[in-house]
Amino acid sequence: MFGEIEGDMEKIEQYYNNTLPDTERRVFEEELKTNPALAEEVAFWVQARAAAQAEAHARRKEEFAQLRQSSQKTKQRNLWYTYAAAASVVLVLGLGWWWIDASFLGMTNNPLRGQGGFNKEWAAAYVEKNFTTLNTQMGNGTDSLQMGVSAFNSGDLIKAKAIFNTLLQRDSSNAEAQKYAGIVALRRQDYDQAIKHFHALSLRTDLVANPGKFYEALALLQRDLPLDKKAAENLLKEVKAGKLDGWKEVE
Amino acid sequence: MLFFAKKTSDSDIIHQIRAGGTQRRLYENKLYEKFHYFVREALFKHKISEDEAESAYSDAILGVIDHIVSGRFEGRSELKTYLYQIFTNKCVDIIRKNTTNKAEVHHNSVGLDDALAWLPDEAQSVVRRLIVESEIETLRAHLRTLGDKCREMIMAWGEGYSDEEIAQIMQYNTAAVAKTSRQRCLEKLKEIWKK
Repeated sequence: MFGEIEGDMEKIEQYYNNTLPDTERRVFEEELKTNPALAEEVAFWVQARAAAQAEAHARRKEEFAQLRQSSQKTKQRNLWYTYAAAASVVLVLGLGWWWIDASFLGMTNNPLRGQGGFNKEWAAAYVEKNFTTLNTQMGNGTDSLQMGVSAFNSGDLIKAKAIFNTLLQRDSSNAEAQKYAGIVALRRQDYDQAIKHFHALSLRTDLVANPGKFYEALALLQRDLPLDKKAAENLLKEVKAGKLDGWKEVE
Repeated sequence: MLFFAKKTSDSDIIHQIRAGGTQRRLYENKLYEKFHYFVREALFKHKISEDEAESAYSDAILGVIDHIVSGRFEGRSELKTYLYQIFTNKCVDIIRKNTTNKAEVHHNSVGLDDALAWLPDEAQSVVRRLIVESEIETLRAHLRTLGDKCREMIMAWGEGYSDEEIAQIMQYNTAAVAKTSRQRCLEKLKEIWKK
């Protein structure tokens, strides 16, 4: 019956594939009980298939592990891209906002401007650079003004303050005295007084040149109380928009 | 695009795995990825290690694939439910193994029992007496010594690929040629094993 090995294998496969006709199937099952060679062949076939399946499963498990790793990497990369995209949007919006704000204020190319825009340090640097000594020609009005400027340049700020205040008491419309009084107060770090003088100066509409608003902004930045910076920025906007004295500094 | 990627439906997965051929692997992978979140749930629910959960999940997926290919999965329940049940059984086996050192209840002797159950009782006893389970490991080792083509062919057969599919995947002219080659490879394996 089932003598030849290749024939046996074919029959076994037909049996397991359920393609043997019923009669042959019954013969095969009967033969199996009495034919040790066929039984051995079936035993091998069954074990070989189990071994092949186990080996294939082991390999598939490895492939699944690789698939998992690569999909985790992809997920991480996608997450990273998402974060990068979100960060880019925030950066672009931030830069855009900064650019619009800075352009509006005219702050983009000022070498004196600090990292945080026009601030206390910028004002201090300006004051240090421009208000350490006053041009003697500045006080070309009266002898008293000249004396005040000399006292200022020699470092006698108290004397300079007294001279400019006396001049103002004598003539409150003396714009030069108002300006110098403010500068002296600024040097003496009496910011409230400086703001008062510069504000009074800024209100004057009869002057050809009036740095009142610009100086008031400097004093506000140096005082640095809450809202001072905002008030200073508003003044600087006005200076820039109206091309008032000091506008080049905020360009 | 990534956020709107469409998930493959269960019916597509089942259909493509059953259809076999070159697409089968792809859809097996899709099945694996689709329900991989079970692993995370198992870590929380069963308190087993990640490696154990991953291994149980892979075994469950391979079991479901076998059931789809062999027709044992008839689609009476949802694929997700079916897989979840098998996966849970695997996890329970791990818990039992970890806590009592008992052998697994839902064992997977990779098709051996199924093949034996196919035989009538008396014939089954005859064949069973000739089978030593440890020999499967020996056969696996011998399988690895075969040439690439033979090994691939026998493994594909073990996974339930038909000769027609093997011919298609391994570029044989006909299923008959693939079948003859596969049977010769099995003969070769037997010779090595018997030595």
